[in-house]
Amino acid sequence: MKRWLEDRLGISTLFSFFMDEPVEGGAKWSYVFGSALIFVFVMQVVSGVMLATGYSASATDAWGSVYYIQHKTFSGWFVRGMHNIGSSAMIVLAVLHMAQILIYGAYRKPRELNWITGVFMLFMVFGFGLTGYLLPWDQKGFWATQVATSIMGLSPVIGEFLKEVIQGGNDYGNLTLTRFYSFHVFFLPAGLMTFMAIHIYLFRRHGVTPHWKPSKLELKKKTQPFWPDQLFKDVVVAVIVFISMVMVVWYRGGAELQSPADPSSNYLARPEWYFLFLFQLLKYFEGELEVVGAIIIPSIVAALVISLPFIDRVKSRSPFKRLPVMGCFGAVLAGVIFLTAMSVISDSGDERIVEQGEESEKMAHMAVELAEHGIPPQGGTSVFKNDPLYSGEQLLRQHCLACHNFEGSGGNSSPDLTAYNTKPWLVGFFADPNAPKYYGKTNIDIMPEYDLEEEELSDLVDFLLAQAENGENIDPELKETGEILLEENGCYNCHTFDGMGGDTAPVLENFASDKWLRGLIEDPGRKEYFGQLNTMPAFKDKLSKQEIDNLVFFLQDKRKKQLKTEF
Amino acid sequence: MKKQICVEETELHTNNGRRNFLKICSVVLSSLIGIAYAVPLIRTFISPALQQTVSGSTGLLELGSISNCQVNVPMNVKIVDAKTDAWTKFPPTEIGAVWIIMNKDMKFTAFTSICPHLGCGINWDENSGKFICPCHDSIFDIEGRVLSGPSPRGMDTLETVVIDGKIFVKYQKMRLGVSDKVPA
Repeated sequence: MKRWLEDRLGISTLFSFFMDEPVEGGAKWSYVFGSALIFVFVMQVVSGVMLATGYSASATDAWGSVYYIQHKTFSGWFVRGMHNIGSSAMIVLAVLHMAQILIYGAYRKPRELNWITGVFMLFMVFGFGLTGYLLPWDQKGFWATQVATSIMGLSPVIGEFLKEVIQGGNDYGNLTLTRFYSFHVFFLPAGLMTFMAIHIYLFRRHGVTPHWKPSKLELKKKTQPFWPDQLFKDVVVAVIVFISMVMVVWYRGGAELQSPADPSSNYLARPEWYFLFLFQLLKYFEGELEVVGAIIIPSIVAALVISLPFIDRVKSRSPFKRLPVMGCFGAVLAGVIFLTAMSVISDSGDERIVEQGEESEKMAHMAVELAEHGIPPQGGTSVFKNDPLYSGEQLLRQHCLACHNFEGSGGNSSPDLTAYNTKPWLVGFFADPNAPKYYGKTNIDIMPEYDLEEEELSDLVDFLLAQAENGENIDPELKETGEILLEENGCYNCHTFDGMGGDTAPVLENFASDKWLRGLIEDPGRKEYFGQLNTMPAFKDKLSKQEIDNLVFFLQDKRKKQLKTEF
Repeated sequence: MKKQICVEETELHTNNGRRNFLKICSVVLSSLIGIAYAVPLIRTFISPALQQTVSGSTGLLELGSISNCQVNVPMNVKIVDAKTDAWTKFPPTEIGAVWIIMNKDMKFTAFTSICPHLGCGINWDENSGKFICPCHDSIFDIEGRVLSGPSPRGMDTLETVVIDGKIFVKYQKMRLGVSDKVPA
């Protein structure tokens, strides 16, 4: 059976072809980085495929789908967290791999193409990071990626065209996401895998580059097979990498998800940490010179890095004989670290930025909480419509301000809704109910002016407002005072309270309560409210029950906040 | 000579021993990573099968105020419900209709307007005071009993509750074409 399968599949032959590679000079810990990169890449592929089973690449749905993965799918937060930290792990390991290659001089003849394919793979890894950052379509990804595509637009001659090809048209939208998604899951993986195959083939062709000291003979004697000597070391490193990644993911609770992309906000764009140095570099080039920092310098550095095997022609492989190369590498690395540090320091020292960071944290938290109730089909920021306060204010501005004024904007043919039903509002109302701010411009003109003693007026207003909170169990003393005041001032002639009184003016029972206000908005022409004198449209058929609730919630929230400032 | 072979064999043996140990360790460690990583990945993958992903709102749906009802006059009320599809919540849309009848004791009966025969919408015929299904002429009396026609059972009643003067119904679709009333 085993023999039969082997004859047909040739697994053992394949296995020994890949695994029995002789490692000249023996297995070394310094050779582990390439394998570690492959390990992380495979993890990224697997987690990426899992994430793709739940992700929707559309401007309306992307945020919602990532929210769903993060908060509703079992272990979704962990898989997403691993995929996110995996990109950082790739960068770190790639830099370590490069450092090892540089120190060992492994980029030199005949391995020039190993080096060049490697550098291209590094660029692709950056490409993965960049495209992946946008996919959740949250504030962070949306704004940071704008910076990247704008930089692309700066490149001479073809810049604008290139930018529109990449971002899918003149502005960010559905096509930006479908394209970035396609780059992230098709173009880049295909490219990276192709280059990886070439890279590994070339590596096998030329073998490892051992330490520079031992002689050829010595190396020959110490040669060990890849399996298991080197592979064991690789596996140990894989375990370390895996555990570190899991620990970071666990500690941070997975990858963060900011609030949905809002093109109207002024979000502070910051790229992923491994792009910060490029971002910081831009700060030193102003105006016309921008293109220098954004494109020219990075391009020159990239070109130098690619052509390194042709520049470095020193005979010895010892790093001490290649000091210029080592020095340049050190300088570039130090430069990158310096720029990254500068960026972090300047952000953490800027109060405005720290504040905005906290604000966006709050928004992110709120968006996630509101998404719990489901996201409206418009997607993205419409999740905030679930917030009665937000939605209430929007509804007020949409439906009420044609007639009413609110905090300085809107019409003035109806009572001002600023601080509506608060004590100052009512005190002003009793002093002059027919002022333009109150009912002066409406058909309601039967409420007389009252010139009450200050204390009486205060008691009356307190009594009325007490109805809003706890209609049933008002302080009996206040209730008595209130009823006496209603009696003395002839309120019962028009208003009803506790089942007594006239019905030509709004009921005072439960005055300013949620229920009272809701009834008023639903149908102000009812006898309990303004009756025949009413000119306000009834909203019971124009707004849904939920919408009216939100409107009431917003007005009552304003009133309650006012109440707090009084004490 | 014999001694030399011995030495060589031992050397080979120890070397193989070390390599075998490394092989076992490599396989065990990588399997552990594989398992540790596979568990969350599989959980994520099968997650939709273990959760409700697409749903209407469960529980009672509001039909309106009882003050609109007249005794023994069936009233057609559209059922409006919101659908949730994974992360998206669609605004309330009409998902069906019910006939509401109030008897003289102010008790309410709700029938789905779906004919138990093949699912057509049943009408109320005011002249004859009967429910008539326009498709295959099943006729029901005001209490939903089959008077004539192909319907295998009477009209399907739904659970109703009156709270604060408003009628609520537990809307459900029933299996069609069978004589027993079972949820679809």
